[in-house]
Amino acid sequence: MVQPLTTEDLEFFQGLNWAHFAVNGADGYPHVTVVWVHADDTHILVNTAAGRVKDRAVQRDPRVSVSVHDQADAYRFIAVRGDVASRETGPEADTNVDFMSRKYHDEPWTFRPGETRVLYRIRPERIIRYP
Amino acid sequence: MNDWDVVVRLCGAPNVGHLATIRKDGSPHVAPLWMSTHGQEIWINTSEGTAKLANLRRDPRVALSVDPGADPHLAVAIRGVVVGETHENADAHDDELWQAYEGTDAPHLPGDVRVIVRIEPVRILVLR
Repeated sequence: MVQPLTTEDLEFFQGLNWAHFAVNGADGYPHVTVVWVHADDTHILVNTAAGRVKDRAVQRDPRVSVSVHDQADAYRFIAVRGDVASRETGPEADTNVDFMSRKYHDEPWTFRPGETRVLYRIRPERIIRYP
Repeated sequence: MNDWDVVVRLCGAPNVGHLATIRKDGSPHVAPLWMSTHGQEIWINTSEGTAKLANLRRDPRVALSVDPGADPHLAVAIRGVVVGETHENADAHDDELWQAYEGTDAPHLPGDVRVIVRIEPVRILVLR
């Protein structure tokens, strides 16, 4: 069941908060790392580089979870369970990482030689909001 | 700073940790929480009945990512194992966390049974 994101949910993802992106590791451990995040009206957006641990994990198992707390109030958070509905490389992923770099650091993204950016669109299936 | 020094510096107030566990269906679960370090362990405090507690009792393999909000050039991702849990002194530990993070005692809600979960890091990845 796809859960719609509310205006308040979108504030977590569109604001200057970090997300913690959890996947299944190859060896049975969960794996969680801090990432830049954004959202459109229906999906949570996460950008990574091809070949990273999280990217290999997503290609094995698209079930993920994303948790964000409000940097202005550590007591408020949102945790979303969902799956990676699309994994894209190419112009969309490159445009998105540049957008993220400007959002978080106020500067354009510097592409590294040989780097392939990957954009995930995550479809929320269950959303926990606190408080 | 060696890696453990980074863990001690980051895994406590005012930083928020995000703990990942594995659900019964094999999918990952992640939620934010407060934490403290004790010797070579990271302690978290949760309630009976939470998803994370059910998950880590089924499978003690966990991961923890600490938000760099207060210090954006230093973050840590930890893989760990739950080495123990206890109800003993769990309310006092809850108060310690509340004092460190919010400057007040814990609310001690009726029916809330607190548990200290002790996590031993098995791999520390420092992101600078």
